[in-house]
Amino acid sequence: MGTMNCLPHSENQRCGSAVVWVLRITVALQCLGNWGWFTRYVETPLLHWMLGPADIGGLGWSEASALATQQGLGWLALAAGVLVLVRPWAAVLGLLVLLQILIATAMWRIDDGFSLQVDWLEPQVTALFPFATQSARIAAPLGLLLLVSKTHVSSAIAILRWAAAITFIAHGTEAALKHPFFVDLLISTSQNYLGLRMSEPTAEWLLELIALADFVVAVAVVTTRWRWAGWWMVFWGGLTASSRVLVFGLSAGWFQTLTRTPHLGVPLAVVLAWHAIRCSDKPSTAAEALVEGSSNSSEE
Amino acid sequence: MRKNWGIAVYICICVALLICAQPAALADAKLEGTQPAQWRLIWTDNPATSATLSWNTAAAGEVHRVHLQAEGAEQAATIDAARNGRYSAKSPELYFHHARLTDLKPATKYLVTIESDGQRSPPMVFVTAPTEDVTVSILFGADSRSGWKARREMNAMLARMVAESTQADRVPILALAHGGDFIYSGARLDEWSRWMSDHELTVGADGRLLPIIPTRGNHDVGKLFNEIFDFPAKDKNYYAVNLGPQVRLVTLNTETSVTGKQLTWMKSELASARRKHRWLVVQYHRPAFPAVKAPWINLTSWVPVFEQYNIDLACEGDGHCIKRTPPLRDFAIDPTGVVYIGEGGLGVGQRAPKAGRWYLQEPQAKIGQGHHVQLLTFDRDKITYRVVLLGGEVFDEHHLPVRSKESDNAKDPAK
Repeated sequence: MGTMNCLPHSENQRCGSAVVWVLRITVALQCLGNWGWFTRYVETPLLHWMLGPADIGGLGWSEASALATQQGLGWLALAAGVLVLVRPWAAVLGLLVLLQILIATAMWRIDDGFSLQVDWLEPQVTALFPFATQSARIAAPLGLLLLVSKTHVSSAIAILRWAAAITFIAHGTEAALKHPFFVDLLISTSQNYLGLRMSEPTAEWLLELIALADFVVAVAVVTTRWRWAGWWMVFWGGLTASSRVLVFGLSAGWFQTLTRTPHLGVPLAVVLAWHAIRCSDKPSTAAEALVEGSSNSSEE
Repeated sequence: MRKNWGIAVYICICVALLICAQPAALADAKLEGTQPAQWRLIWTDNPATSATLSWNTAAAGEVHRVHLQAEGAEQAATIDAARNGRYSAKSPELYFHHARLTDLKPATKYLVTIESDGQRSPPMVFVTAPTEDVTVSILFGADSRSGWKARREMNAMLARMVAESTQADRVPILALAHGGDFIYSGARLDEWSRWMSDHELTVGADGRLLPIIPTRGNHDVGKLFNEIFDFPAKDKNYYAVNLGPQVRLVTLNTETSVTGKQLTWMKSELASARRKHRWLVVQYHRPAFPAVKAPWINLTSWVPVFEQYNIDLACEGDGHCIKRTPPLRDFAIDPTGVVYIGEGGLGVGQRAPKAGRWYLQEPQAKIGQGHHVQLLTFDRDKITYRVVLLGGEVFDEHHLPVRSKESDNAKDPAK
């Protein structure tokens, strides 16, 4: 992007530090959400994958073994989340990346989540859709891991940008295809909080607008450094994550909201990274600023 | 920007690897040429006078028809399939044929043979629903999506149950209300093909077809469901049928919007049906009062309507266990409330129900595990509910008395 006002080097460092702290808090909250999901709510794609018989691609475990494994993973996730706040060790972050990939893999294997129904793609391909919807959740610990490793800072920012874009495209696709849950989300929220009975066609029309906005910001975040696109992602990611609490109530929705923290945390990290590098068109300089910032934040 | 392209290439490689890692599709049922196979009789309209007889062929063929003869009639009628086509899935290559049988006589046995390009099915029979106020039975079951061996065993048991029910002094089983999750991956025709072949096992030794009243489950995603059960292409799969003049079965869809048009339709349907029928039953897939999982959003949108219109029974699937709640109203046990049964056991592996939930406490509730089907018998005074396990053992038996008109009036603000 064009030349902008230069920030002092110390401010670059502060932005770099902020990027890392945003991701640390994001990952910690995500871990807390995963803990609630795995140990309190219990019904997860991972559990269903473990329970599922081999004839449909499941692992065929007993219910007791599957539940025990999931409980163990939930508590490990919680411990890892706390550790990330204390000190973001690469080994811990690596395990969290694997955990998020495991969740997405389970969703893929058991056809969990929204079904992408498009004629030009085979079911085997559309079954991979969860990797797109989950990309921000995978990228949050992965981006943090690369940032604290200090050698792949540019890659980290690029991964965060792409993950935010893919997440928005995936959810925009769900909106464009009028995901029934999204329709109910709009109708219920409108009725419960605004006292207005929204019709189904109106909700579907709103979803088309939402899909359009999702696609525009997704393209913008990977092709430009248009900060408004990033800030919109932060706002929208936060709103949609918190909508789970609005619909399901605090007791049944809190972990769903926290699990989705990367939907706002990842774009926020991207926007802060753009702030850090905005006075320089040289990636190396930007990377240095973020490395210095990440060093400071990880040593606190 | 070069870095971005690198990541894009990396993502593409990952996606390609994941596609390659997907196991090969399991073999579908054996079908040859235009030999009719995978037949199913579907009730989605008025089963006293109409039904859809559907079947599949491996080749497209040209002439697809049904030969139909009422018991005692001298001549058979020939009815051409009204809708033929290739399933929208790319593989396997499979063709559907739907013959819509109309103007049937109520409570009448029909002899039927399917023909595609001169190749015929074995002769089969089916019986239409009555229009007289007689005692009738139906089966309710859900979740045949996995556990294929158990699914076949369950289907064979259903055929035996139907055969036994036709004996003198027994109440005939009219149909199977399937509460959804027929298969695991609704977009995969190979899985549907296997299910349709397995469904042939519900045909008894005497050739009697067991009509099916289908519900869409969360695994039954995609276009194929409507192609298999002869719904219009964009149909949302909520509808109601009469099983005799006093039993109204309302099928709902938890996989489309539950708060939009469906809710409006349901309110209208229940209001009308409650006044006209002694028994009002709903079936849907995701439970409002689950025994294993968390409640679906129908808990807040549908349950108040069920209670408002005093439905008699709600049949649910998805939990993979056995469940019968006490009558529930306003989130409390109330003799005037609604009983929720089901949770699915037509093949799927069984889960442990959560006995600690307030609506699952024995002795007022009954929960358990095991492949099963619910047998519901409707007479003038009561619904008799039985859970029949694979093997024939009755796990639970319960009676729901008919609602008094006074209690209906008291609870129905529309009156």
